[in-house]
Amino acid sequence: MRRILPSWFGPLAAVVLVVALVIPRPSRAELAASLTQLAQAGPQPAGQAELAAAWQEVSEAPIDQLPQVLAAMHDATPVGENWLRTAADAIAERQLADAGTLPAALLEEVVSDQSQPPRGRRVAYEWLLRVDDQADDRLLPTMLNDPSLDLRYDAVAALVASAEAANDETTKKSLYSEALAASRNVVQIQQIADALGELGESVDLAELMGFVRQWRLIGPFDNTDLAGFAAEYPPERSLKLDGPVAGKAGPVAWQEFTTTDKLGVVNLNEAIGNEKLVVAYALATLRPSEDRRVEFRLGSKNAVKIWINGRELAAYEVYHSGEDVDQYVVSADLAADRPNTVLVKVCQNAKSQPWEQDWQFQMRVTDHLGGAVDVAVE
Amino acid sequence: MWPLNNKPLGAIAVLSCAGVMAASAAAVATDWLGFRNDGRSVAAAGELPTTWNVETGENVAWQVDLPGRGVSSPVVVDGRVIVTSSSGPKRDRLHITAYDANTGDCLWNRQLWATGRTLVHPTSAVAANTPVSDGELIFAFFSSNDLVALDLDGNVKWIRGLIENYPLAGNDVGMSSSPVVAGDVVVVQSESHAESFVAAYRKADGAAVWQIDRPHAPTWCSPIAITSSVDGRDVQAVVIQAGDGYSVRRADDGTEIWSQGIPCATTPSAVFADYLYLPANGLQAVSYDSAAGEVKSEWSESRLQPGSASPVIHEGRAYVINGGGVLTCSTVGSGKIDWRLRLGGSFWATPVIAGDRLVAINQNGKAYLVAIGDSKDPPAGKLVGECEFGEQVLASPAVVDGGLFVRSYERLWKLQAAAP
Repeated sequence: MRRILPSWFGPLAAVVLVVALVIPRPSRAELAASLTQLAQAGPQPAGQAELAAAWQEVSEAPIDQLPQVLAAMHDATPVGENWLRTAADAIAERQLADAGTLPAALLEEVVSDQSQPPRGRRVAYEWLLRVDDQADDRLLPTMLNDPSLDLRYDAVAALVASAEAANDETTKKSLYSEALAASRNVVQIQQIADALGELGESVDLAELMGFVRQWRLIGPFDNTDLAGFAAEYPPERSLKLDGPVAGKAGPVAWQEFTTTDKLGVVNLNEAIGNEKLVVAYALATLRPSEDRRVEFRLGSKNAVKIWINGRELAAYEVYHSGEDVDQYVVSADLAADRPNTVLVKVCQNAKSQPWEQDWQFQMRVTDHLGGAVDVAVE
Repeated sequence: MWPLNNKPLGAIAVLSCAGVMAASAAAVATDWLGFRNDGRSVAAAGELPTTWNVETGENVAWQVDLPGRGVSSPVVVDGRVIVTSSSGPKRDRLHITAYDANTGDCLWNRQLWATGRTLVHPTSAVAANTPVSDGELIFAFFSSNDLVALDLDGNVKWIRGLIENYPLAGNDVGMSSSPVVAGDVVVVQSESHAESFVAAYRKADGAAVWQIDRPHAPTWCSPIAITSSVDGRDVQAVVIQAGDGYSVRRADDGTEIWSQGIPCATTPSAVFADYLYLPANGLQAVSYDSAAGEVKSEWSESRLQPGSASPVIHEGRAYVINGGGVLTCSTVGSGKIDWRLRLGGSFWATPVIAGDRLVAINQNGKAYLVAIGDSKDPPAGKLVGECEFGEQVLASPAVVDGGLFVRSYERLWKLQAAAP
């Protein structure tokens, strides 16, 4: 047989093989143990050294184990997701530097599998784009209703770009409308609604996004020294709607109020009165079409508490530190066979600064992705 | 673009302040380790370019697009430029990226998701806090109260989501206070309308060494590391500044060494250079007599009123940019203003000093080079050059080995005089 390899190749290959076999490479079981450790990482410092060791082991895993790393995000804590994400990045980064490419098919398999953790799929997508610049054109059209909100955002953005580029008004309206139905991002939704508005199509944002517009309001109660946040005023003890109760400066009674704000903002300065150091309550009664779990997404510049069916779900004693739609998110189960009460307490401070004048809140009821749910306001 | 006087820079500035905490043994003079480096914003060595043009590339060693937005400053550690950014529709993707200081090549990028609040003012970013390094580890902190430690190769050592302990902590403008390394701990100051705290975490493993609840009032200034005397022995300490005063606390256990209830500015930060200089009713210099347990007022100048940029103290002179964009110099203790120079625009970036030049960059990305020191030609206070970046710049620059590292919202430049 003719020699086609140099004489030194055999010994070198043997050395390489031995080195490859000798260098410890974590078994799948060992990797799984480290992944579990990272996924369960809590905010407390205990075990950080062990976590760092686990991270080092995971970050040195071969690229073919990247899907296993990303899948570990299934039940990960928020901090655990960050341990896993950074390790996944290290794996992909090293592979790209060493091999000049990444296994695109492997990455696309993860991206396309909606049973995988949304954030893990997003990581795979970002790395896929590094080696396949056609991936977004190919994949985004399939992601308009994706459970990964980051992937869905990009899919909607791509559709919006198509709408902007379309030549005829009918096509534009159709594409914008499709994008509007798919979007779950508040800013993106407003931008699409504005674009449709310029085309003569009005959008009821409050309806689309599930804002509660019809409320019963009562107040003001006293918030001197900001003690009203903790004080238990009559609406917290009973939701009887008949008859006045003692307020800050005299008797107060429930009154009906419907906001016309496009994002459901309830302006208490207008509805109750422009006052300092006061508390108001807002009550809504909801009935879903079926028993279901929903999210209450609240925004306010004022200190707020929220009760669902008499149970306090959350309290945020923060005054005038910004307001955002979906600023506070809490989950609760609603029953279809009875009315479900939502009570919101909104506290105003002394308004000592010019930017502290607003006394308001907004609340919407959504599914876990931020889509409006079928809930009647009674 | 206008040419600058092509005068070589003068003597190399030497960090001579005995009170400034020495960096760890791993850090070298060619590093820029945190916000304003050691808090003084004075370059250790090297000459800066006297002119540059980011459009033609003149004296631009390299430039890179960053993976996100930020107003945090670059730091330079062992040949790596570390920059933080935030991206995504909800601003919750946090990036820590390392670039080769010589080439601009990306060495590594680590991305996390914010676990805390990402609501910030449009002029700011979740990546508002400048990372800090001890020369061996990098500690990156974000407005979302996420704190992560990495080694210089991007290996993650620990991650803390501080929002878990302080769920209401959040600053609607953007919590921009930068962490500082003092002794064996990294100290963060997170103060807002709701929960506020100062906390120290062990560098090695992120364990909380001490934490203090603070008043519910927002601040954006950063703690600084100093040494202070306790029972005749120097100890590592941190200065915590806020609207209701300042305190100096031991780094190892958080015990207060001394404090004063004088109202301080909440955006520009204090400086230590022979005295502790505080932006408080202008600029005040104080010292502490540990034997007597007394704080002594050394100097104050009400006409030196910092705007958003922090003051710079160098070789016995104070340099302050006020809210109107006027740069003022005063010799410490003299009671007189040496000179004033109207630069124009508003300044967020703290100026840097390299040799006998001060570089100040306004929010619109216009850079001013100003002569300082004792030279007669050009005289101190003379504007010797202006350059445009063409983008908004809010981050304070870094200077290492004659390279000026400037970061806009989404771009990073290294400016360096081309080899002759």
